[in-house]
Amino acid sequence: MFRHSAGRLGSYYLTAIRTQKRLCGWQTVSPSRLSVPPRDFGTKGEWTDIGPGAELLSFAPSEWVADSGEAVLRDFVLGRVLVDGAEVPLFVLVKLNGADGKRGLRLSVRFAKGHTGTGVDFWFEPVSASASEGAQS
Amino acid sequence: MRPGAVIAGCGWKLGRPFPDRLDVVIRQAVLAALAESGLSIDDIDSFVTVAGDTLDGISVPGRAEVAGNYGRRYLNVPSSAGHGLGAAVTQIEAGEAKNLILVGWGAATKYGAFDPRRNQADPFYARPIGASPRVVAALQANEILDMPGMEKSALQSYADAMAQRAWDGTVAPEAGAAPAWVRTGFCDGAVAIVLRRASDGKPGVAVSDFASISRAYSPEDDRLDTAEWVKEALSAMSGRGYTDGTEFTVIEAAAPTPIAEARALSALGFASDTDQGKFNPSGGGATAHFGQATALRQIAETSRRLAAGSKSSSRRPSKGLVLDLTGPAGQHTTAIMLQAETVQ
Repeated sequence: MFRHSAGRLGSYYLTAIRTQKRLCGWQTVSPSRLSVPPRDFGTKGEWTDIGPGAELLSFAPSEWVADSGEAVLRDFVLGRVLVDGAEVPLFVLVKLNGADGKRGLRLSVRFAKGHTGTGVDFWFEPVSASASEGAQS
Repeated sequence: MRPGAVIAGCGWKLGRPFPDRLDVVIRQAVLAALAESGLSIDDIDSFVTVAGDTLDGISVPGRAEVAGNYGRRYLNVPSSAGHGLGAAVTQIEAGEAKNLILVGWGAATKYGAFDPRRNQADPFYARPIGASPRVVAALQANEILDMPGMEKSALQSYADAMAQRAWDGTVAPEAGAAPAWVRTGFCDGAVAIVLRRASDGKPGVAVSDFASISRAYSPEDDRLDTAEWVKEALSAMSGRGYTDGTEFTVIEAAAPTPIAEARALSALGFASDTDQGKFNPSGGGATAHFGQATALRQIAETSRRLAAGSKSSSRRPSKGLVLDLTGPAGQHTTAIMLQAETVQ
């Protein structure tokens, strides 16, 4: 089993998701950007809470990647979303729950009950569906 | 216009898969390129290869020796064809090499059954959520589909036409899988290009300009739009600014999928119903894709067409453009301008 260090910023970002169910971005002045996942430009910055809402930009249709061998995509689709408060898009898991995955669809973050310390510890769902389900958030 | 390098000869081969060992085919491509250039292996003072561990494991140095690099200046560029060409041309322009062979290869037919390139995705954010190159390309395809002029029927026609040109056959839709215009048409390939210094007075096809732009694995762009990346690369060429493509007699592109390729070409005026063979006469790279070195074939094909044109009727310089879009979404984009030197 490979073990890597996620780095100073990556470790904080993943730990916040895992232990606090909190999504945050790294705000820097130079360059002026709020990045998520955090990008370490070697300059000063500060953590800023982002979400829980987001906007869907695009996704990979399940029927196009069914034979990709990606087990996680049996239950999710790979999406690209712009989290509220962030300035750059994020690759993330999305559960469309039957919604039409149009660009601009409003989403809300959900956190897994278990945790792995990776990107599968959270996902996004359409706002109406996430309000009616009982997953921990 | 850059001063420096001329394409003197090319050799290439595609297969699905190769009937012979890859080493043998690489050597055949090198010998064909040398024969076309009129140079011998003893004239070559530098080798540049475009190959990477994803496709070739620890075989890269061994295959480079088979290609003829033993005892010569050697550089492997484990990146895109465009980056490899840039390294080769720069060696010549800097005076480090007079005659150089650029070689690239990949045995990617097996990726048609299963694409294992997950290791290209970063291990913390992209890989655990299934954002492999295959899936990212599908996501991008779904996004491009919403852009103007990207109709499904036209894209199927484009994919079929490109496959006919590359393989003398059509792309058969597969039940339950992504349509042909979303899929990468993997194959085996090997390409060799002999480059020499431009100042020796012999005819050839000049590499008159090139420029690369790039994005991270997860691009920060609002859209994964290959047309915008092409415009950016063209604008980066010696500050000449964006061109609409009318000045070129042939334009070749290699992108991960036919839809990404068609969208890239649309930046230069391509529309499937107006294509008169100016765009991708070779069939492009998406339907004959052998990994990061794929666009070396587009460079070689364009060079040969320009050289043939300069020997026939026209005395006017003939210009070609090659677009190399490598990476899961084609976000490592290189634009290469070629110009035939007219035979007097």
